[in-house]
Amino acid sequence: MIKGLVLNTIFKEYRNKTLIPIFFVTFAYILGVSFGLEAMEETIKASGFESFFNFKDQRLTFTLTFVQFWTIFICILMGTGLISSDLNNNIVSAFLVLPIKRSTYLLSRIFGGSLILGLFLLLSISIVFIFNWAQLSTWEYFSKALLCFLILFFVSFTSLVIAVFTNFFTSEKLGIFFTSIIFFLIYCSNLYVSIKTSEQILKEGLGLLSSLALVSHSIFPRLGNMVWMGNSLFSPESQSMGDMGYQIGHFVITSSFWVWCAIKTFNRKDI
Amino acid sequence: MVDIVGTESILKVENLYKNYGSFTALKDVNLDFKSNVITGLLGPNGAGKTTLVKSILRLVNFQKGRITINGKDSLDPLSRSDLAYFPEKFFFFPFYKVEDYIKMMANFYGVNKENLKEGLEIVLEKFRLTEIRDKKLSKISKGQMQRAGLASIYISDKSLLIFDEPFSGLDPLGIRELKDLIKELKSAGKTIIICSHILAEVEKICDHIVIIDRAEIKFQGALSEIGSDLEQFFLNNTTGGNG
Repeated sequence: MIKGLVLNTIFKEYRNKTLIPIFFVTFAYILGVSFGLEAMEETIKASGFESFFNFKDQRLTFTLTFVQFWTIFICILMGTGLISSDLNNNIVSAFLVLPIKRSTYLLSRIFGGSLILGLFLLLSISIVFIFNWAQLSTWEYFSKALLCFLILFFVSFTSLVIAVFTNFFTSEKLGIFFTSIIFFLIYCSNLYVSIKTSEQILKEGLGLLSSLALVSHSIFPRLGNMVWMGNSLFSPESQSMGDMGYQIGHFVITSSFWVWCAIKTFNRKDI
Repeated sequence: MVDIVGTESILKVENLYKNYGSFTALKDVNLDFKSNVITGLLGPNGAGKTTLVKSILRLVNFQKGRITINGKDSLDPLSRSDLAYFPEKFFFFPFYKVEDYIKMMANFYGVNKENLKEGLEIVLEKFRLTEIRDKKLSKISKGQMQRAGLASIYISDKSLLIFDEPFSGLDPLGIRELKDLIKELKSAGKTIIICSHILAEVEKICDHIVIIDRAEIKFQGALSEIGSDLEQFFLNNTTGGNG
């Protein structure tokens, strides 16, 4: 029965007309960046100018950042619809009258969604690394590709779970709208916290903006750190994100938020 | 008129209370559904019929009371292992083909592969779905969609079947076929609960009647106890159901 639910999730999301163009746009971008940056550099060189920016070396960063960005976008689209599309038209009752727990239903949906994410990331990262094979040794290639996949998958999976649990709207459009705003704020705060480290914030005192940034940064579980770790694979000069206390703070606030969202979701009367 | 044949209790509702905020949807409901009996759950709109069905299926939580299905508390998901439900305004993901939908639901209901292989053709034929078996649910009519849903219930071979407003949206032929189907299911030993407000149809097939109005059970008993005029009896026992 669980297998059936997971397969139903995959089939349902595979039929999602928005996701398919996103997949193609991503692959087109990867191809474009992989060949385009190299071509740009060749053109600059051929014209006799010294390149002020090493385009070739930035290919991985450009493509992986884009893959990560689109993956989050997919998480919002898919995560908000995973449950709400069942609630519309009362399709959910067909599943909930089966002899399964509600948690089984929810987890099967999330698992099915994360399989699609995993496949998307695997394909994207494989393509990215295949086009950059020549730059790396075999061992480096595999280890970096694997690590990159794991990091991006962790971030995406977390985003998907958050999108599912924070979506209390039966309207998918409203869900996408509000979840996008939440993600946007989180990203802004991540950027802010990346620029101003926690130490700086503490030194300057917690102003309204700093406090909001710190709290919302903490809500999104270590995303900033994970993205930073991903980038640092290719930019060794990246800075540290903060001290141990700050990390523990992250964990506590994040876990509390997760637990709260999970309790709210599991207690929904219509799920 | 058919007499009640069931003796074994298959579904029991005890002291059930359900509130939506300050609104009382069900108040001290006590019911005992016997096996191999067709029970009509009647009541005006807003009387609490659907809430009662949803409480039985645990689609909604209730404040007080106990529901047991085949001796198991409804809190236990396994209590629903011998139950199939046909919701009001049946709908499913439109991109599924009719045949794939029936197969998928059969899998969910635990029908084994051999039975499914044998049963699928019979069911498609029985519900006049053979010609549209490869059509997507989005491309078929409302009546055909209803038949596809009923086919999945039929193939499930569960012993307790709950239909919520099954006659709504059906043409006269569809209603007649559905009544025949319900009678056939009863002959096969099934226990059936039909939630409806169409008295004329319920009267023709039910053995047992439960009348619910304003969150309370007003009557429960054999149809034969009511006499010849169910409509008048229903009106005497209900007040419009808008409270």
